[in-house]
Amino acid sequence: MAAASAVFRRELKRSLRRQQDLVQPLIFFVLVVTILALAIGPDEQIFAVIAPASVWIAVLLATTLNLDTLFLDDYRDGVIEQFVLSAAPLPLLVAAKIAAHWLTTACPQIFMALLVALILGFEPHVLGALAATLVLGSPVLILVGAIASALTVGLRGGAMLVALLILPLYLPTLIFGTSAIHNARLELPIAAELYFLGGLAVLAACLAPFGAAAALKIRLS
Amino acid sequence: MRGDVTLFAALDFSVAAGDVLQIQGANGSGKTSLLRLLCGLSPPAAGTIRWNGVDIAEQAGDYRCAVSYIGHRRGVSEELSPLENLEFACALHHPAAPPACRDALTALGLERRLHTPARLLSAGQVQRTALARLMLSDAPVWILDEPFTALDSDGRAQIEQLLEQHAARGGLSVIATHQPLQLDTGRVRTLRIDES
Repeated sequence: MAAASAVFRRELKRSLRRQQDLVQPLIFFVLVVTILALAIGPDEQIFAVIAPASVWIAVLLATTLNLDTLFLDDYRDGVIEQFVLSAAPLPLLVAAKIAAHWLTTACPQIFMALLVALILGFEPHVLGALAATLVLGSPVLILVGAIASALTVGLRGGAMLVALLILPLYLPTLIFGTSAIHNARLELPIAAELYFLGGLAVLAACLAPFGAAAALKIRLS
Repeated sequence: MRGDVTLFAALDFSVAAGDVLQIQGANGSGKTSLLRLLCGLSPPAAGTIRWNGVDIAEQAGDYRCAVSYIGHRRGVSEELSPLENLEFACALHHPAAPPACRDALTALGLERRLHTPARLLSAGQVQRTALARLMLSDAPVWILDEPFTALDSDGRAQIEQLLEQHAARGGLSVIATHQPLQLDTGRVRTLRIDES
């Protein structure tokens, strides 16, 4: 446990020192939403339907692009080798790394998404639904993404490969996330979707650290 | 095996407590691959590696605690300072060890660079940061890949002294390096792996 908490603290320290990695995905996120808003045009009725989806799409893309930073530097510097040779179990160390990544990348993104949604004029209860789906959905995105990121770490064209591997796997999260917001807009209950997202998050949290650890070992051998 | 190239076959050697084994070989002959096999980072295509008579694949946890590995990739993050890097390495490998990190880095001549991010350090200073792990390591097996790269003669002498102390304590070291080792104590043996 001591080793895992050291990994967690080290990750926070590192990401706070690389501020460009913190800020760039947020700018990218705002840009994607803006582009979608401009492409949809000024028709308010269509926009009201599509806006929640566009926020989710922007979250997916920003998360995918950011997965690159999860293991790559530590792989190049040989820190992952030291993880593997540590006495502590590798899945635990990987889980600590993923948790820190969620805290430093997904959390700011959720706040940014809510801010953008506020600007786009979401109603309060739709805003609440968006917040709930992002809080439950973003861990799934990062946990599943960690497996793909570990599998492709150090490969040429890794970022594209991660996107190709991961975007299809994001579909269930996307579907439950957007349909919850859609229901909220129609003032229908959204509990079922949130339960599904929560279930996915728990499942991913249990399995993904083991998957990512196994993938890292394969990449090193 | 690297890719589908067989690097070495019929390689058979043993290292005893107090031994220093120097691995020599031309560039690309597989020194690093051999060290990674010895660490257990990659599995051998055929054959076994034994530690205390037991295959290392069957005692992963115990063996991992017994090894200090400083590889071709140094395990030093460039955003972190030498002190942070070393403290993290200690937390990873022997959580109970007292944080004597500052002293170890000072002894290796990094006292004025303790808090400088590693990306601003010279190659030799990064190397010293990595090697400082050895000063705090109580692992009986040291596996070092080109430890003298980028070091000046002082640094080199210090590392050789560390190796002598390690051998005197009954530890064993496996070192890949081209340069001749000048150790006063310890039985230094040389293994040449060349394409044959």
